[in-house]
Amino acid sequence: MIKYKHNSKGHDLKQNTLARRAFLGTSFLLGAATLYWFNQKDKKVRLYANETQVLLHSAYHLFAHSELGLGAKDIHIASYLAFVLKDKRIMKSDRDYFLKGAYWLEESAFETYDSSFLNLSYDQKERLFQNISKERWGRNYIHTTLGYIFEALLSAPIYGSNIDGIGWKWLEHNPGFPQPQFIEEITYEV
Amino acid sequence: MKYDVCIVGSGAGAAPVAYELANAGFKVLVLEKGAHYQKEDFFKDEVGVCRRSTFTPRLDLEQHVIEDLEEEVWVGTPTSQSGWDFWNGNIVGGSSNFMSGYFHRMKPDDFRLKSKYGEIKGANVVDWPISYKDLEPYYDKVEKVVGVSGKVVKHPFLEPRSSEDFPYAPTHEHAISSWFDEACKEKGFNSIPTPRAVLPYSVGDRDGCEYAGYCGSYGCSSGAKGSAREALLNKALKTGNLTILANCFVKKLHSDKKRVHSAEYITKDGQIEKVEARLFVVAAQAIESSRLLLNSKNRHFPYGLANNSRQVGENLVFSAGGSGEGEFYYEDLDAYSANALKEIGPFVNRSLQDWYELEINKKSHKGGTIDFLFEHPNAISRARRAMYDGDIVWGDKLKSRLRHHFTSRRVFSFEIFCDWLPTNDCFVSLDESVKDRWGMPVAKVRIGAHPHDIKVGEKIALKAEELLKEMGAKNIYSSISSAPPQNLQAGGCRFGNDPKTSVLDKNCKAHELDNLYVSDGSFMPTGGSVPFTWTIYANAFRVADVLVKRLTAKKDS
Repeated sequence: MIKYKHNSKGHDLKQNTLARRAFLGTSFLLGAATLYWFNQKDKKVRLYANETQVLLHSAYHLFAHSELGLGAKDIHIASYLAFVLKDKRIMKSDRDYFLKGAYWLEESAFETYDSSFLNLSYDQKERLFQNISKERWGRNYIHTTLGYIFEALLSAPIYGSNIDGIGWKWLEHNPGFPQPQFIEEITYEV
Repeated sequence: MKYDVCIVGSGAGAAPVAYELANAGFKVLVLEKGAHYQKEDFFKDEVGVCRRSTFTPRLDLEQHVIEDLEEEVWVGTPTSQSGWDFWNGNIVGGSSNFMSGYFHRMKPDDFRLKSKYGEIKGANVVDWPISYKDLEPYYDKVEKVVGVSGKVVKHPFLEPRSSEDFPYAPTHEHAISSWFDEACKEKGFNSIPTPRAVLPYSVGDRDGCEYAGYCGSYGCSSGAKGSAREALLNKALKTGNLTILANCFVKKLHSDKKRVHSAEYITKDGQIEKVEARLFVVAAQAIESSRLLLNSKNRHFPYGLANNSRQVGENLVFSAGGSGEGEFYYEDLDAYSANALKEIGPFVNRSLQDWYELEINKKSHKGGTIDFLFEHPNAISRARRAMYDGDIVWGDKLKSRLRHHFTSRRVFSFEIFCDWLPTNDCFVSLDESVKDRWGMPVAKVRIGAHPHDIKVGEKIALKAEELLKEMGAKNIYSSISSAPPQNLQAGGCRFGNDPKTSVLDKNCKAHELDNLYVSDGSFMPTGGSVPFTWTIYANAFRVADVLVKRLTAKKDS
């Protein structure tokens, strides 16, 4: 099997690189304010929870239950995202960038609707996603979120989602054997 | 303790040496950066195996810098930024654990590319210092010792063989293989059953293939796949002469003017150790082997070990070519055929080599090999292909696309393997500004490709597309690219007779040092138009014979 650039872990590499470069520039401008918020112990907890909530509700919207089939709630996306956010095999910079996307989505919600993303109607959320999909960071955020939704939908149930292979059944997928029975302890230093 | 041989790395270039020397009674040490897993540790866990750094280093801890041409300027990007992962399996047995196991021999003309086809402007093509005849007995040995299944059929580019047929019958084949054969008959193409380093039935401690359908990218849970670990190292360990130290990263080789005397390595706990040996063999896969030599500079070798010729790292090659596919829709087939098409497990096992030589502008050129296979069954990566419909999609539109992708059709693919011409724009050097977790400079890899590679790949792709059309596939397309497939790497320490233009002599010993050998794919001046693994295995067995003779002679004297 040939491994190619665009097959490697499925990233849109060019897009990610450019976006990361853009992010580095932006974070420099935001740096002082962001650090201030992150350095306040009580604020940090609130801010972090808000981002994870935005992530979760993004997933609920992007892959909502419908007549066509399963939704993010059906596959236990919350459990899976909790696993992702503590998985040491994912680089911290990638996790931070994912959370940053949620932060920017929340920021866009306030800019557009003067409201938290969590309080928007379905149509408002849809319009917001349509808008941010025209921007590089927005496409990247949607891309990453959908990527984790697919993982939750189709990964081994040991990761906390796809219980009883519900996602495999929906897509008539044969996952092969043997399937893992436990998550191997990863000892990377972080 | 002083070992007879210290080997850095444990993959296809290392294991034959360990196997032969341990069997000959010599004390062998293998130093492997990664962990030591067994077949019981391998599962069909797409997230763990294919989407996370489980069997490879996390890129912020160990990475490469890839230099690509952007608007006529070479721009280096660390892989921790790009996500373009050049690691291929850093565990005992190396990347051979995760190969698909298409095993093709190189052809006699591959050993004399320059003499046969002439020079190509901008390419550093040379003939090999050995011939196919020299390597044939070792190709044969790999068939028997590592285990290659298949069936020999006559075709215009069948290489000479000392054994009439493969020692193992082909693995079970999918229904589509007979459709393929029929289409070939119609087109006048020569269908070749693909030889495979997979055992069809149990042999010794290795079980036969279980036909789970997830071969490439996954460690084999039955032991049927001929990985260096399963086929060679496990057996060599039983001699009591082989020691494998896993989780030990070799930082540097220490030498005087003529001999390497020790390898300095770092253990999992961060301890720095040194080990002495009579002979040293480097086989850490092409890019990392060059990197180790470059990082081992000393006052005798200020540019890196064995590098006073400044050849270490030069002429890196990958496999040129690309891939393509076509779709078969269940609704277009009768119920029996549709059910047959859905079956997961049996192999396609078909290749074409009719264009191993082809004509471009009325001149003969080296062509390539086409291997046929189904789209990899990995579900998450297949789902990701549904994510874009020109623009990124979500909600019900995405769900419709997912259902369509998974339940309405099966994708039949092909991969093309051509020569990646060696050029001055494809090489390994060090990036002193980017260090790994142990503080060592990482490899900087320039990945320039010769435009001729694309011409050859495109010409062959048309033939593959023609066949898919004959088979009745829809939405056929191919993509020939100059982007290197990171798992098919060779060169960097090419062998040759002239110390000014090569790093190694014809026995893969460094010209400049008496006891340093490089036995992975680094030795290859050109890669042939086939996957490299069989040739790497065969050559490592050849080098092992040289080492056994050398050590035996010294013992006797």
